[in-house]
Amino acid sequence: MKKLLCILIIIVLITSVFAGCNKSKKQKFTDYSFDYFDTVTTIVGFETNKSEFQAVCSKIKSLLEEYHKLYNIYTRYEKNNLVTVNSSPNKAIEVDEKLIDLLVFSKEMYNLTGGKTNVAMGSVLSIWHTYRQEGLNNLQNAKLPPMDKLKSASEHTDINNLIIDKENSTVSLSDSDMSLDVGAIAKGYAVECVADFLSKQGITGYLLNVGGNVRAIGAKADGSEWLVGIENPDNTEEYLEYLKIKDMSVVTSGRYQRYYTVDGKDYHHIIDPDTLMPAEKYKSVSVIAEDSGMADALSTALFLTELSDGLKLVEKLNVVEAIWVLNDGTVKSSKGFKNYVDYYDK
Amino acid sequence: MKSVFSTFTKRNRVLNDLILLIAVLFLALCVFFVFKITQKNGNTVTVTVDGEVVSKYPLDTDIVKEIKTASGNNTLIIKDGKAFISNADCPDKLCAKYKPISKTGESIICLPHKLAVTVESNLHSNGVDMAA
Repeated sequence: MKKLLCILIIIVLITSVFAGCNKSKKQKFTDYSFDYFDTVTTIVGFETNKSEFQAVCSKIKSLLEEYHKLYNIYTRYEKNNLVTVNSSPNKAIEVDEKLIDLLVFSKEMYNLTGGKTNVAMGSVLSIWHTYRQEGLNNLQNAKLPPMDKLKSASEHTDINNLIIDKENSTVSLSDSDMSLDVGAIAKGYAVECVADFLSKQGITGYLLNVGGNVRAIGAKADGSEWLVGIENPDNTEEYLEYLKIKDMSVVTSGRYQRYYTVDGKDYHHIIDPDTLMPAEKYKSVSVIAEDSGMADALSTALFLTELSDGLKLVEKLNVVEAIWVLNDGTVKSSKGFKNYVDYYDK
Repeated sequence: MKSVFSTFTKRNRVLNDLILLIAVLFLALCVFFVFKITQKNGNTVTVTVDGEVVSKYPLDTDIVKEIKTASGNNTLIIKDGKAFISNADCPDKLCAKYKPISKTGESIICLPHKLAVTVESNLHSNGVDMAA
């Protein structure tokens, strides 16, 4: 009897040791879609089962779809969007509050970055867009846009001619030759809005990626931070750095994302408002910030800014860090960047 | 009424205790070996000083690193997927006597320097969650 009891106790003890090793019941799920902002959207989330994950995904996707349509500059949709605004200058266009918010945020970013991210650059960017598309469709005949064409377009990029009336929820362009292009900011802003929505719903343990705009909502299910690899412009096989983040955003601006080739030289999509040509200061710049919209705008702005000025801007901002890959391959980063790096001292 | 138990002689009780002891030891050994055998090789060596992570090194790259702490230095060597401390200026030099470590959770401690070298596997073993 006693022996049996003892053995029983031992068995209970041993099983309880093993039970202690049981991990959190939430599983990791992943979802991809190709429908928004002309890029890949990846959603990673921890849920107890697939249907719960899918329910959250469909919420995320319906939001992304709404932002995608409102912020579109190429295609008209049922509601007034940026195509409507761009095609009817000198006229107050009533638009959704979400578009007003984006444009107000864009003006803030214009001021923050000293005009480096300017959503009123549409006239110049659309010329580059046209030449790039033609160049990609007809590789032999790829051409650069003529400078005089770019210069005359650049006279119509004053952001002050973008008039926002918050009360009446209208937008108007007071220069009939200007147009809006929110490419440097809209993806990140939309991702931030989605993250904000999820947080308010109490949803956590998600990682969103819309075309390189990565945003973590909370930590992983076990409370650990997400591991985000920063793309290495020189080596696609290896990451430049590994970052540990939660409730933060990481965005990279680089030349390798969108470009076309003219006479053997690559011309990418980030256009310097001063030279009207693709910026060639760095191979890539990545930004860590709490706000994904800000990270998006800043990564573009820093890509166009001299390193010393860029460093000053980053140090001035709270909870913002950046890493630059210079043309010679040297890597520079802001002071606090290493706090996020996981695998230093390689 | 005489119960069954009371019929045990003193010698019998000793024998039973012995059997129980052996059984417990045997089980403990089994558990220990199951843990040892299933324990996986880690891929990262984490160095902490006074509880703070100072650096991390991949276990698959051979290096020799001088770890400087407030109380003194230790030389960390990673070779052939194993990590060990080859030399230290601490008084007892116990850390240098540890055998090389390579399995998850194994560690080398240098108490005088408040230094711990631990093998981990959580890092990058499953790849990144996302690329930016």
